[in-house]
Amino acid sequence: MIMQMKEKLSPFQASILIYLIQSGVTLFSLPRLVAEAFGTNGWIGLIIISFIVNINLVLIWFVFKVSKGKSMFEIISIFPKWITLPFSLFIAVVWMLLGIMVMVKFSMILKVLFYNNVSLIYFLSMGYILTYLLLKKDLYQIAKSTVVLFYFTIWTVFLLAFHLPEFSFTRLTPFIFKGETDMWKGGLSIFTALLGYELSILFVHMIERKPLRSLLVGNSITSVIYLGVTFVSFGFFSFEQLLREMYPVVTLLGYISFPILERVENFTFSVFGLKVLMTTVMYLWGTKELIQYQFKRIKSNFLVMGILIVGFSVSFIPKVIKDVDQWLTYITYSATSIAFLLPIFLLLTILSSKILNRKAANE
Amino acid sequence: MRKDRNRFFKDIKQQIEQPNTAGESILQLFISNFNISSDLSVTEFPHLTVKIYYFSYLINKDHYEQFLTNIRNITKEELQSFLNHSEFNVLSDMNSVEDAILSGSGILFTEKQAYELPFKEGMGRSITPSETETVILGAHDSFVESIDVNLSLIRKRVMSSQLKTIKLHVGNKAKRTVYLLYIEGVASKKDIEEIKKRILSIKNDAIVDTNMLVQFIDEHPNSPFPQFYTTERPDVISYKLFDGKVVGLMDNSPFAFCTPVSFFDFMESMDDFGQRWIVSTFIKVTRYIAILVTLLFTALYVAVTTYHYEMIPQALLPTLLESRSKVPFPPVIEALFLEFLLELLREAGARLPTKVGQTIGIVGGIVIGQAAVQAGITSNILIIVVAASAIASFVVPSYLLSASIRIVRFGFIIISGFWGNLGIIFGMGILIIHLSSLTNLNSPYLLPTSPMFPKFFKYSLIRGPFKKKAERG
Repeated sequence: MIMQMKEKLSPFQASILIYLIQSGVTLFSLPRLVAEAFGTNGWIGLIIISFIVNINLVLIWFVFKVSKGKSMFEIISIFPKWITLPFSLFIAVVWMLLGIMVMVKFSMILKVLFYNNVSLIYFLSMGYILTYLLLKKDLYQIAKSTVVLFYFTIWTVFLLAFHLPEFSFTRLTPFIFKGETDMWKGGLSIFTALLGYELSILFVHMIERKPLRSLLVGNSITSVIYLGVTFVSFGFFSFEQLLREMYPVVTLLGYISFPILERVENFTFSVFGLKVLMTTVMYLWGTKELIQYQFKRIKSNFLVMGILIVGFSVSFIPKVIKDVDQWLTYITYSATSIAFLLPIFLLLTILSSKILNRKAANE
Repeated sequence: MRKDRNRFFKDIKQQIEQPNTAGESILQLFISNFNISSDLSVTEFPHLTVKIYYFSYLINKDHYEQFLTNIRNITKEELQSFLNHSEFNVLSDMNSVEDAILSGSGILFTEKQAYELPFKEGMGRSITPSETETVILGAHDSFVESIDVNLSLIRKRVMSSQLKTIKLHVGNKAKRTVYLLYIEGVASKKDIEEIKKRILSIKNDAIVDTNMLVQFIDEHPNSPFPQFYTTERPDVISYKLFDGKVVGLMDNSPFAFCTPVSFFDFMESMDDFGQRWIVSTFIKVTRYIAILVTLLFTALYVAVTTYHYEMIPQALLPTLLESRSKVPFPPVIEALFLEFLLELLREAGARLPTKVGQTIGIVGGIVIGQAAVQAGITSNILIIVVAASAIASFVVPSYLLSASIRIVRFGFIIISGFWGNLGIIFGMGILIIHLSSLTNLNSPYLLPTSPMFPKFFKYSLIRGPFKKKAERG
């Protein structure tokens, strides 16, 4: 068995990358968010949201297809740098803040739930050290680590089996989407739980083969896991209980016990930290790539250090989880619009440049 | 120093410029090079004006005696035709003379020329079963220190003209022979060129073993993990050759290395192939669990007893509390103390002769097992934990990997003493990032899991059933 290193992402690697970027800190509150947004049997709503994400992914793939495998930066290189600069900076800042706030929120939950007396700076330092170790490498290396992290975290999904004996279909109720629902705002907040796939626009051209399928598979893995967790929560908690639980998934974890160990939630919750880490790393990677494109002369290592130092200082601005949630709301709205508008803008760019080229050729 | 070097180069230059047609001048050079070598023997035949130099312990005495009886009976006129036999090589420069005499030949100097008399003695240890890599099902022979014997062991198993060998020399002055072996059409040409380049770039003379050599040519010298697979077993090596790997042999070392390899090669034993595939797969999975136990079990004990008492079920809590109550140290100190003691025991056992080694086992067993607990230095449960992780560490088939994992375990114990479960996860994160960034000859260390090639899982992660047809990536 001899395999040489290929500097392209295998389809499976790309799928896992998408899954681990998507799967972030919103998972812990997801069942409640779903219940708030869609009411009873809200898990069905998740399927709709996942479908919308798929449409967006197809859009991204379309950019790749129409441009005949060009990267995003190759497409926008027809503009002078000073035009793209404000846009790049805006996207970079949004992505950077999103990546950082996800980590900050996870650390804060960790502190509130399990380590009340530990200063936040320890959690964040650990997070930033791991982020640095990954971020200083190229995407191919990051993806390699991602796959191993995937193996190391995927078993947590099977912990759901512990809740099946307590699962009851009567708790699901026969009503669909009843209760105080807030489809628009709630739906958007659930959509943010699936965010992260939009980064694929930066690496879709690096996927070895079948890019569309691997993107969709990535989103499907996330959706299936989210759906499983939400579905089990709807049958495990009563609807009213679900609305009152701040982090239903953490409560779920609390019910798991083994013969020699019980209350393993602080261990499993820490394992989730590695998933959150990947979300942070990839958003910061996106930031790095964007800034690197605008300022080619900055050395990559300095750039990484710069991003991390800025990120580390920003991490201490929000004081409580509520602040972070406030930040995250605005950031995720921007990120959602970037997710849709960026591919559309790129498509327009390609098409118009094609038309211009054809005209020039005719003349 | 500089002057010396210049003179040395000058000498060499002169040597090259004036080819030694006359045996006399090469003889002078030879004598000056080997001036303080009391073990050098010489036999002279004044009537033939012939001198034979040799190291008596390197040559085969019987052959030499026979040669002497032959040469005694010839006259000066017959000498030249006698030496024209093809078995006696003409040596034209000092370097080849030096190589020849040091590798066990005799050197015959006439007035004009130097000849090599091939009386090499295949001295050394006979082939014995390997002590570091024992198997139950499978061949029992292992490599020895003689490179010729080792080559013969491989040639016997790989009976194909496609088995190619490249001879290389390592080092500046004391040249050591390294053979690179591969099967043409199976091994990648790029790998062969790369490994050749790396070996030739070594300028150190003090390499005496294959396990040392590979540390000069690996890509991540500061990683605790072994990157080149070294083994004493010819059957493993021939298997790897067919697998498309490049194998290296070094003279005077009973170890061969092969490359490119991944982490999972270190988890393999020849026994796996002798067993039924279901049994072997079970054993392989057991080994992975063993690695996790070695790495994390003691660390988890430290984390739980330091920070997370709530994780212990109520039924177990009284037992644990009772055994911990007498111990005056924090769990991390207790654990480090015991682990360190165990490492001492292991090291002492490895260095001592077998007869004394038994004593160490008994003393260690009694001291650790009984006295430490009675004296209230450690808790009973910790002894079980440490013993379990020690046993688990010996399950790993590769001695090199098992040693690396034991070192990494100390890191985990310390970090769990500081940060509990979170520390373990943090450590795991660093370990994963490190392992996935390692490469061996540009091939990822965690292949085929990362980057993932599920098709090859059955050859590395588990031991899948054999196929009638060979499959290669």
